[in-house]
Amino acid sequence: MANILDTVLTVIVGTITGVTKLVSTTVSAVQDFFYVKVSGMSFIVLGARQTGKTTLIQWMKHNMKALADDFDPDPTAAGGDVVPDFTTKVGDQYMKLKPAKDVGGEYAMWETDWVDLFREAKPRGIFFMMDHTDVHLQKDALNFVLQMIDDEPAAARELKAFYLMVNKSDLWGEESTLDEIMTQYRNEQKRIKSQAERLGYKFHVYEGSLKTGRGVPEAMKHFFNVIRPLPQPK
Amino acid sequence: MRQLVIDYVFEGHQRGYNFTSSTQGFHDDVLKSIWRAAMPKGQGWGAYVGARSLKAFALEDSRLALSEVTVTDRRDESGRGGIRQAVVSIMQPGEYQEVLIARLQAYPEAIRMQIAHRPNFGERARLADRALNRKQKNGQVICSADWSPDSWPFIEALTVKLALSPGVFLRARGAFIPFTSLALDHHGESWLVVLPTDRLTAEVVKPVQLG
Repeated sequence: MANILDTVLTVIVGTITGVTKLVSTTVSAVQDFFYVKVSGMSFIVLGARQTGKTTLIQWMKHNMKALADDFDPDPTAAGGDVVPDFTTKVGDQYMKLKPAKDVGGEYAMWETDWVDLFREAKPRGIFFMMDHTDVHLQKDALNFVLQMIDDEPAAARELKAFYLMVNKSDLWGEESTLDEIMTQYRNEQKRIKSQAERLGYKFHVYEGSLKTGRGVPEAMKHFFNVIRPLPQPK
Repeated sequence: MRQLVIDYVFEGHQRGYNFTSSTQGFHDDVLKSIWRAAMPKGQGWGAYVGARSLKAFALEDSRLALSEVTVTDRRDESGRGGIRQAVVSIMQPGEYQEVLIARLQAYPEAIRMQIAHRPNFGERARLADRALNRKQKNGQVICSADWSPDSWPFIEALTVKLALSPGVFLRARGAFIPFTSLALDHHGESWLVVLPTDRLTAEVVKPVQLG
């Protein structure tokens, strides 16, 4: 009798667990579909001046294809430029992206445009652009963003990824390696890793060149697959 | 009236756009508002060297700001052009009216003659239609005209005239009409904004053609 009762209970619990799992998976799939196709993936692009933020946003708007040789962006002015949501091809999938704003990278923009953008967007991801020049400026910018994440917990609540892209590898790739460049940012990397662990976001460093397109599509695909509700196989 | 200058700094540690005039006496929040709003939006200003844009916006402390932006021919150390300079005048509403009237009177005779009977009935109707168009987010009144350095002072004068005497439908927006006489993108721009025709995007419903 006890055995039969055990079996019945096991079947009932198993069924409930199975149904719960199915419902949970379906809800997650619907949420993922809604986020990727309808509402849009909220992320922001930051970085010091002249690191390629405007170019990256334009490149994404062009389905991540190389931009025309005559693409010649202005330095983004005070206040930044609004970027309407757009759909683009990431890997083999179309995704709706919402970077919200293209902001400049000068010191004067950090306290104003960067903080405003972070508060407004409450992003799921931060894509931070760097290059091989002016290490002090890049460090200052990076540390400012890390401090901003700590100082603005409400804006950082949804943060799932912080990706660093060392851009312009077409200029430094023959003389230097990513490891050599990142050695100069040892303390910053430690700080990011510790923050990532504390706040539960993913941290990765990539190298690439928006001019040649090398490395950037892979980084973006990885980034967007991390910030979507249902992480996809890399 | 106080003036602030936002300009591009080419030397030193803090290169790029900065306040280059003294900001003493300004509250941080006011400075931030000016910083956010002083420059007209859009990319591609390198093709508009010498152009001027007027931008009027309200500040939190009830004062009004008029930003006069010039597109310079300067390039930064990596060769980027489209660098702008903004001279922002901050004033009380009454003073603002006087400044706009004085500006309007200072345009060359030919331009004053041209705008004397403008906007005409058709333009007023289209402006009203645009202002009342509920399909358009925030009811922004987007105008356009074919760009040329010679024709734009007329467009600017017409925009100033509209800001001063907006007519009954535009007046519904309030006593103060925030405007930008030349922008390259309407997103995040003033309620009344003028774009060169080739900078309009498909999403702009019924822009008001000026000129």
